Amino acid sequence: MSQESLIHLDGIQKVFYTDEVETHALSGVHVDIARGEYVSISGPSGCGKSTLLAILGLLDSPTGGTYTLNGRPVQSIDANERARIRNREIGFIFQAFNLIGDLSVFENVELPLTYRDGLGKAERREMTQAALERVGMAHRLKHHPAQLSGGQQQRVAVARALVGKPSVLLADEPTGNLDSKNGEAVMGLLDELHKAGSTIVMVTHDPRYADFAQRKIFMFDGRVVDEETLHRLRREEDARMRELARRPAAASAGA
Amino acid sequence: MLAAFVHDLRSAARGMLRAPGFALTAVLMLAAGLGACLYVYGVIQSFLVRDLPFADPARLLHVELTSASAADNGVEVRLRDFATLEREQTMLAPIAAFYQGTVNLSGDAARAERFDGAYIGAAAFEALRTPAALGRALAPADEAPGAPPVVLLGWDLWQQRYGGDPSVLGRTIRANGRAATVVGVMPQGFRFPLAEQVWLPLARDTETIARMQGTTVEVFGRLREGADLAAAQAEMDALVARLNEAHPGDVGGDRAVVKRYREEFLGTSTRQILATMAAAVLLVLLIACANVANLLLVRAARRARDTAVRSAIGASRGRLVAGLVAESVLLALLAVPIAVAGAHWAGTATMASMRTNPDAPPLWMTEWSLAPGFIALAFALALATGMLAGVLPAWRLWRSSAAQVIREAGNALSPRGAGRALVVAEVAMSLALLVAAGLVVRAVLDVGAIDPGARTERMLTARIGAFEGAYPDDAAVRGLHARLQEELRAIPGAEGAALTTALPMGTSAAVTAVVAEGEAVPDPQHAPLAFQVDVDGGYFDLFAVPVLAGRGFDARDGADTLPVVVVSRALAERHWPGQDPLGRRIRIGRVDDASAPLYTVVGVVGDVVQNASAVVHGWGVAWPNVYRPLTQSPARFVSIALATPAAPEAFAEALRAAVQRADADTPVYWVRSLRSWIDAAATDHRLVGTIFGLFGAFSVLLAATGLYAVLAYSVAQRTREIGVRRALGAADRGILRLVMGQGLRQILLGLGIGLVLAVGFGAALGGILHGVSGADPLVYGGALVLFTTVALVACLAPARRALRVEPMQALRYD
Repeated sequence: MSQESLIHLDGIQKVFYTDEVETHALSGVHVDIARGEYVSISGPSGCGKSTLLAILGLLDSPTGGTYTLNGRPVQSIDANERARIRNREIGFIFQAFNLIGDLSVFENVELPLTYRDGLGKAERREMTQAALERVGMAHRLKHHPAQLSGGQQQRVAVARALVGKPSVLLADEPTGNLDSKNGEAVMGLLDELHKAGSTIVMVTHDPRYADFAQRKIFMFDGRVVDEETLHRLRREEDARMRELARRPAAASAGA
Repeated sequence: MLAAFVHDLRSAARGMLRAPGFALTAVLMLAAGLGACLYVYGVIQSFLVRDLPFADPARLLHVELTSASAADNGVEVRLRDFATLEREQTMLAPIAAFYQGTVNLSGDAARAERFDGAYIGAAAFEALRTPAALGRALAPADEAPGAPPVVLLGWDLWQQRYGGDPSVLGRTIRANGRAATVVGVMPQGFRFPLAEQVWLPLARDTETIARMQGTTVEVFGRLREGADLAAAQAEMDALVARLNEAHPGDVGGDRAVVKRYREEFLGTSTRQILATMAAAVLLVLLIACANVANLLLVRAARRARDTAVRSAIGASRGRLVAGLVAESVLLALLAVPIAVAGAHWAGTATMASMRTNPDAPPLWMTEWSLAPGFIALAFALALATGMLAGVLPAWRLWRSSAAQVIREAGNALSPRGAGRALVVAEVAMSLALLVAAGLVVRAVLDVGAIDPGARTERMLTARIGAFEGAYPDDAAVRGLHARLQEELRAIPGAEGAALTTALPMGTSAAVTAVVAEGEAVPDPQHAPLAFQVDVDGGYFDLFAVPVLAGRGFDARDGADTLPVVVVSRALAERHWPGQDPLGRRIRIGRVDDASAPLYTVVGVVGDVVQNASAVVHGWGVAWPNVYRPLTQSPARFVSIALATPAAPEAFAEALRAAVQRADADTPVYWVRSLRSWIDAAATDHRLVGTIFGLFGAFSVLLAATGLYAVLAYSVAQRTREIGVRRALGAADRGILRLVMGQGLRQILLGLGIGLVLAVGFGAALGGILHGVSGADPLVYGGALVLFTTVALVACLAPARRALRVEPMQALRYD
């Protein structure tokens, strides 16, 4: 772990148990992310990238390995402490925005601050206003999510993620529910934030958006692989699928 | 259209079979609300709507007296004044009079037996338009002085005592010790004025009895064709005014009260109780409807995807709405049989319970029947309730466009806002009912907690009447009392016996005016009152009434010795505050009559509550007592009290046998424990308390269920939101605040509105809550605490479920 490391994952494993089936979602993941870095995580569906993001965001716990955030081991802390760290250190941007429909734009962005002790109303208002100005949504304070376009909703979600000045922003397919124009706008926004010093970890399956990141991490079958290995594994898998597709009658007869 | 609705009904039935928990809960809720409504309707039908069971009952009018200053507005008419009214009035044709009393029948093969009877004018049967079923009713000639004594029997009495033998006509039996000829049998079901079964002619001895000593009678009659109530009232007022001019102060009232006979049986408090019960039961039904509407909303939201699919394949809004309405109608129809059965059971039990009351209303009023109208009402109510419960979800669906239904698949039908409003309404109505229940129950408990000032437990009681036929004078009555005392005291195992004209906490104590010698009596009508009880020498010991000064009665108090009284502490303090009452003298009854006897006070005893009904109805618990010795005032009607070491009922046969030994021809009746009398006196009160208690408990349960359902659904709907909040750092406290906060807001708003409703209820109940204020802070505080506790418990389960929401799971929820 380097001196600059903000996130250090060492041998992280995640196993899901469903009835008697054991699924290894993550199998010994080692990742180091430095403060101020912009990292993308890519890979095919089911490779474990969202699970990795959930563990990074303390939404889920690993079944093995160690996770050090800001110099502190966090893989086995209790639920309330995890909530506290999520609130202070981590900002989430979800694919589906996950804004709360009953709350206004301002209230949605302010929400993480209301879970933080010691912040007065005036201070919360100031921070919220600043976050909304930063994403260009300060003119929609009183609107409700349903009154906004998808791109606007995601900008509000970004404001909510950064309002508490977290150590890292975790973005899970942030452009997944947006058209290309709005998607590019959100990517531009993340780029700006990175340039201003934010640490960003983004999960995406779109190579165009992965290119926005400084560093790309590739995953396959629950492991981190390099780009060349990923391409080789994908080619092998494609070949197997073509072979299966050529023998439909035999496959069917043998079934 | 009908076929489509039948199809919808079938679909609804299948849906309910697939969700039996929902169906059962909803049906039971509706059944309870409907059942309560039907029950109260039945009671109101019996008391307020059902008329007297005689021909053209609306024209039967009752006449009594009142005065502006009188506390009691139902003063009976003196027999001599009735003669004047009968002669001079023109509006009632005929006009009749009667008074109720005991009739002892003997002198035939059967054992001497006592019955509720009436001494009644022959015109009464004409006014009631009811001829005898056998023989004849009483005739005017029977009332003439010196006319041969006759007796008229009721159908049930004839069947039970004489086996329905028609040869009883013309037979001579003994009625109250006098030989009398049976002249007729009245038809089956005929009871008048209350539950009487035997009638003797009203003795018209008005010329031979002094004006102030004659009996008083109840007067009624049939309004003449073409006349109206106002005209009858005006004529009676004029006649009463003339009577007052002729006999100032002796008439008993300065104004007549002419009213429909049915009104005679309805006190103000009965009307208040019934009106409050009707309001309460309406609230219960509304709460049940609100709850079922809530359940339907939740169910509609849960099946939103089904609805969306139906909409996508072409179901119109009308059909979708019809499906919801069909479901609620089906629920209500399923609830009808349960509701009818429940109401019938409760109604029958209520009426049976009311008949045990010594002041029971007339029999026709306490007959519960499942009239066809009742069943029709049940179905009408069920349909209305079903529509009411289904209208909200249906309306919400109606408002949504097809595209909205498909696109939102649930959100369009989400019960959130409507559900919360319903819960607020439920909380408000439930609190109002709970407060009303608390007030009534508190009043009942207060009555039960009153110290009677005398022993009331393990005491067997009975009553006998000694009539002139067998006991023509005071000496004969004294002889009977002496024999009774001797026989009663010889009962093995009994702890003692006493004779008294009235039992403590009973119903027989006479209310009389009392003034001390030398006290001014400016208005005899408003002289200070007391309960007057005539007792034997064993009374104070037997009932453990403490002698505080002087002595009780003993052998010194004979028929020819100085007239003496024992007074209660309250009476002594009222007339001789701070002075020694012993040796002082008082007048009883005719307080302004200088020739009336003066009684010397020989003892002071503790205060005894002499009339349980007075306590229950708040007529004057604190009225003091004055006792006279039976040796000096030999009453013809006395109660027997027998103190027993164990269950009093075990001594019933021994008591009957003792009375038989004293006089085989004098029937003993009302053989029951003193406790049962006291309980019976509070029957109405306890019944109302029980009903309101059940309404209150039921409404709280419903409100708690409603609150739980809405919150549980809300938590399920907000799983993703809760997950987001978790992801943003909300700890348990924050999630709890979110869920409980929602519940608490509804509870607080509901409680606020409920308090306003409760104040209204309290004011409405004020007239029947004797001794308890309609704004009793203890009841309001208790109801608030109880309700809040129950409501918070109802919020706990959804809150716990919210705490268990895992952010990852929630965020995948989409």
